[in-house]
Formats: sequence, C-alpha cells, structure tokens
Amino acid sequence: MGSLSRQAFFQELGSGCLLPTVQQGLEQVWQLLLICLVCRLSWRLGLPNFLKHLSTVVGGFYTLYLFFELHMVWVVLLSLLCYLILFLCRHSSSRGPFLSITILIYLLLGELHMMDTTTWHKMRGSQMVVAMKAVSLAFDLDKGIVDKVPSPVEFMGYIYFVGTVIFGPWISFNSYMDAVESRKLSVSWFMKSVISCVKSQLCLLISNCVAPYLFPYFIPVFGNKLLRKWLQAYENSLSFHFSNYFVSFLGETTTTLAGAGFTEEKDNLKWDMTIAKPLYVEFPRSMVEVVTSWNLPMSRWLNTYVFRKALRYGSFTAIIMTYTASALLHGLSFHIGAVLLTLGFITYIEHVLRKRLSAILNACVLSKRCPSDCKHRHKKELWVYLINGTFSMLALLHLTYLGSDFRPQDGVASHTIQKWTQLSWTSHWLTFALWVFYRLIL
Amino acid sequence: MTIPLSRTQLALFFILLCPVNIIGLWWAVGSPLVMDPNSICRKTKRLAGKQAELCQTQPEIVNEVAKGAKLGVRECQYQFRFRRWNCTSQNKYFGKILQQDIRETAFVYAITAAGVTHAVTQACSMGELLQCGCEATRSRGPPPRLASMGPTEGVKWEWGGCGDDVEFGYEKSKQFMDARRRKGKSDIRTLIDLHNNEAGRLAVKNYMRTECKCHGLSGSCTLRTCWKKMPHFREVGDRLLERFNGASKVMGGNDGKTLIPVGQNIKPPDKQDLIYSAESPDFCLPNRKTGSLGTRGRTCNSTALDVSGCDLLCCERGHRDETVVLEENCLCRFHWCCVVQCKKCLVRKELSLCQ
Repeated sequence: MGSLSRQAFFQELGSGCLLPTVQQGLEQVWQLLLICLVCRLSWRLGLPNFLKHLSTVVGGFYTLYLFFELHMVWVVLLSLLCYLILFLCRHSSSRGPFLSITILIYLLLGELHMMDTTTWHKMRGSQMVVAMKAVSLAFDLDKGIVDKVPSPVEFMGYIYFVGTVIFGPWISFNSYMDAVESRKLSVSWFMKSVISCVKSQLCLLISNCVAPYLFPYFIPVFGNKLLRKWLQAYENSLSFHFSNYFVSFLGETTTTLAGAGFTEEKDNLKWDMTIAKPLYVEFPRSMVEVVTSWNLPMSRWLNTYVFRKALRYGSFTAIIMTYTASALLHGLSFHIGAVLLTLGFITYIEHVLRKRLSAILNACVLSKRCPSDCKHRHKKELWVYLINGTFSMLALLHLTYLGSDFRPQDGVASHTIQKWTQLSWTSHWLTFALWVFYRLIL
Repeated sequence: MTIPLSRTQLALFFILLCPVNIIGLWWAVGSPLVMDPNSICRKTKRLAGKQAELCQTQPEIVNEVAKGAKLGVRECQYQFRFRRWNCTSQNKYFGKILQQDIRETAFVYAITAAGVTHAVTQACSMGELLQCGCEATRSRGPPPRLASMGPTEGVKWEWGGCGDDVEFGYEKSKQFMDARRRKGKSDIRTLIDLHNNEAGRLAVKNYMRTECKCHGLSGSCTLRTCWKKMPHFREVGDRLLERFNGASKVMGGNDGKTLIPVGQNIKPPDKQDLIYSAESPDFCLPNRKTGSLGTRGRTCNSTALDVSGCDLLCCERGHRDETVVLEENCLCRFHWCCVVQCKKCLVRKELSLCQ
C-alpha cells in the first residue's frame, strides 16, 4: 500500500475494504440475530418453561451448526460430559473442583489429540463459554446459590442459550432463569440491541480498514526504522483490540436480543449488558484496568470462581493461577498462554508497586481509581497526575507489545518469540526493572 | 509482401500509445503528450469488429484496456532491463519484433493480455466500471479451485463480499486482445498468439490470493472476513519471465489447427506456458529486419556474470567506463496534507557502457 497516493488509497479503501467488510460482517451473523429474535418472541407467547428451554436448545443447536457444521459435536460432547458429572456427583459437596478437573482433561485431550488445530481454534470460543457455564453452575450448587441440580432440559437450555452460545458472554445460571421468565418487549430493549449491533459493525470496520493503515495514511507519522516497528506493532495491536470489541458488541447484541442481559431494581428494568469497555483499554489508567475492561463477564467469572478460591494460597499465587486458568480456557495456544502469563506478571508487579507508592507518597496513584472519599492526602497535585500518566503510557506500551503478535491467522510459538525479539523484549525488561524498583522501596 | 494483419494491428495499438517523436513509453508516462485512450477508437480504422463494438458501446472499458497495455509494456521494460533486447517500444523496431514468432514476441503478447486483465479487474474493484459489480452478486460461493486448495471445513467462511472480480477483467481482455484472431484464421501465428494471450491472462487469474482476518472470542476464528486480491503485477511479470525462460518451441500440426512441440522428449506446453516457433536473433547489432537495436551504448555491470554483465550484454565487444554527475532527489519530507518536498543533490556515478 505504501506506493499509493493518499487520495488513491482512500478511494480504494472505500470500495475494496469498507463495503466488503460490512457485507461480510452482516452476511455471516444475520441468521444468528434472527434466531435470537425468534427465540425472544416465542418466549413471550406464554409457553410452559419446558418448551422455552427446549426452544433455545433447538436455536442453539442450529446456530452451532451454522458456524461449526459437524464439528459442533465436540461442544455437544463437552456439555453432555458436564451434565453426567453433575448428575453423578449430585450428592457431593465438591462438584466444582471435580467438574473443573474433568473439563480441563477434556480440553487438553481435545487440544492435543482429537482434531486439527484450525478446527479447534474456530470452536474454542464456544468451548470456553460452555466450560465457564458448567463450572460456575457446579460451584454455585456447592454453595447453595443454586438449590438443586437442574433438570436436563434446564441445563441444556442454559448451556445452549442462543444468545450466548456462539460469541458469549458467560452468564450465570440464575441470570438465565431470570431471562426465561421473559420480560416485556420495550423500546429500550430494542434500542439496546440495535445500538450494540451498530457498534459491532463499526468496530469491525476499524479493525479491518482503519487500524492496518493507521500510519501514515490516517495519521501522517512516518518514523525511522525503530519507530516504524513500534508503529506497525501498534497497528496490529489496535486491529486485534477492535476485533475483540466487535465480538463483544456482537455478544451484547445477541444476548439482549434473546432476552437476557438486564438488571432489575425495584421494578426498574435496565437493558445494560456490557462486555467490553473500549475506552478503558485504549486510554488505560493501568494494566489492571485494561484486564478487567477487556471482557467484564469473564473477569467476574475468573474473580468469583478462580481468584477468590485461590487467595488462600497467597495473592501472587492467586493471580498466577487466575491467568493460568484463563490461558487454559483459551486452549493450549502458546502465544495466548505466553501473552496471558506475561500479562499476569505485569499486572501483579504494577499493582504492588503502585500500592507501595501510594502508601509512601500518601497519594492517589493506585491501580484502580480512588473513590472520592479516600483518605490520601495528595489527590490532584501535578506530580500525582504525572505519575499516573507515566503508568498509563507504560500500559499503552505493554498493550502494543503484547498485541503485536496477534495476526489474522493464529501464529506458532516461534512467531511469538520472533515478534518479541524484534521489539527487544521491551515489556519483559521494563517489568523486571519495575520489580527491582519495587524491591528497593520495600 | 503481405504484412500479417494481426501483427500490424498490435503494432498500431502500441504506436498509438506512444507518440512517434518520443523515445519509449518510459518518458511518456504522465506526459500531456500521451494520447487520449479514446483516440485509439477514432484513429485505428482497421479495428476488428468486436473491438469496434467495444469502442462504440463501452468506451470506458477501452480506456482501461489502454491503461492495461501500458502497464504491460512498463512491466516488460522492467523485466528485460538488463537484457540485450530490453523491450524498448520505439515504433519501427518494436513493430518488427511483433512481426516474428520469437520468444520475445510471446512475452509481449502475454504481458499485455495480463496487463489488460489486471487493469480492468482493478477498475471493477474501485467502482470505475459500471458494467461489473461485486463478484459476490454473481457467484456467491467460492471458486472450485479455491475450495480444493484450502481446508474444506473453512471454505464456507472464507469468501464473500466484493473482492477483485477477475472474471470480468479476464473476459474483457479476451474480447479485445483475441478479437481479430477468432475469425476463422487458424494459421500457426494466430494459434501461437492466442495461446500466449491466454497464458498471460492465466498468470493473473490463477494466482488470486485470499486475505482473511479472524474474529472470535479472544482471536479465535469463529468468524472471518476475507477478500480476493489480485497478485501484484510485479509478481505477474516475474512469473511470465520464468515462462519466457522456459518457453517451448512449436510447429504447426498437419491438420493446420494444432501445435506440436519441436524436439524429442519434450513435454507439450500447457495453458500457462509461453510458446514460439522461430529462434531469436542475438540482438547484438542493429538490424532493421529483426527489430534489433543492438547493445552499443547500453549501461552494463562490469562485475556481474549474468546477462547484465558487460561480457554478455556487450557481446564481448568490450566496454568503457565513464563518470557522470546526476541530480537526484534527497532529504524528502512529508508536509501535511499531502505534499512531499525534496531537495536536489548532485551525485557522481560511475557507469560502464558497451562499446
């Protein structure tokens, strides 16, 4: 593209990228959206609950087939296996850990033995959602949040809920049962669906047509050889980010359209499902904020079912176990595992360092924004802003570094290593330096 | 002596693209002297029926055809820049090349057909031609070739939307380039020309690439957006040069309709191979009859041992060294928006020239 003039480039971009992208974006998901809508409408017909669960199972099966064809059997097998374990352990109080181990074994076998990489990587999103749902249900049963093992049709309805089966997100079993009661159709519900859908298409366009050509076509920065590497890494990173937001907003769309994703307080119903917060990732305060804003339901799941249960072993161990669990849920992809573990160390060290600085300086420089009534003495001094700004820039650099090896086709281990070597292992070295600094000020 | 019309036709085609008083199309690019492509239709009275029809009904396609021909010639000049014959498109000598059935002629026919295919296809994608729309609206499924090349389970999601519609460019190239030669003439030259045109078009059509981006939870490939893209024209040129180097010599079959490879144990050329029937001259000395300009005064590389080296390029006549001082652009800067400004620097260059 470098040899095209700016005018020629934008002309070609419009017809060669914007139009095909929107067309393909809608072409592949319109059936999913339609099925979600049909499911929602049919639930409003006053059907008995049995038929409501059954209708979403049928819808879920059909959409799985739409996207994965016969490979959907692996998702079905996983869900049947989960129900079998729950049923066999119905009198036990350790269903959560046992089911977790079973799912882990299944995913590892699948990754290593059962099928080719390409197919598995297509489906791992759905596998991940099924696994998260089953594990959360098992732990909730152990704690009594869910009072008895659901019937097969309820379980399958939850697992194959058409609003979340393809693009997520994870929702709890109780949220699903709330959705089955079926709230009234309303303008706010419809507007939420439409707005999320429009946002998803916008993010897809940015991911495909803006990010890859950001420099120098959209932002006239040329840079020397070194800077060019980082600019290119930022472009790749941004493209990956907006692909994630596309999927997140699409998940919001399907979930809302299917009738879930609301909060209710005193008869005040809000259709307010939020999966990702793009602004908090693109203009981050800290890596901790980035991590939670990337996928909120998943953050909640990891916090509830992994982090808190692992805290008894210490906070560092808990954090590493959380990132390990996240990596395993994403399949044994080396580069995702490597990125997530690196992310784990980065967030932990940033967290403890900022906590220490906050104590020493008595200032609002924590990883998370202080509430307005905190007791720190220094809140709005210039140097407080400078410190926070520095950490924000660091977060941007980490994001560029970590996102640079996500490509249209999944890479192999050597590609991740090669990419990080190209960027001189900058984030790793910086993280190490911050850790040394942290040890010095203990 | 009767001049074969097909040769004259193509020679006229190139002549009209290059004003007689300008040496080589190289200098004419961007020049106001480049003729309006539509003048091809007015001045070339001996256009074949199909070409005349295209001129009357679809002049904007003829516009793209002319662009494609220029693209082909420029690529030819690039690919042959270090060889004795370097595709200089002066009118008389170039026309002589086109009147023979040598390898060089085969390359010119193929690269021109490829250039036309490429330019028309690109014009489609950029919305400049109303006659063609998105390929998706004509054939929504993936081409069979693509299906057999990739993993079958991914085919469903790999193709859609409005990529480069190579079929349209292919058809227009065929209509225009092959027009006269389809009217019952089946002499050996016609068959060779048609074959080489087809080889050029296939060098574009058979090498379309698919670019995809994955979308899904955490980068999984649940959903993909893909485009069909033409190969870069430099790739097409490189590919055709390979086929030029491996071209097959043929002769006419007894039925007057087929071509037979010359020589024992030679595989018959397939659709993508280039073919010729006469041996090339050595292009060492000027020869009006063969269209050879000779290599006297050509720049050569005194340290290279390949075709660009002085020994081979100068036909062992020797070379002389010369120092010249040139002006070049340097210290270029981009200014928002959207101008690049450069300074002029004097550069001393050592040249080796053929005796």
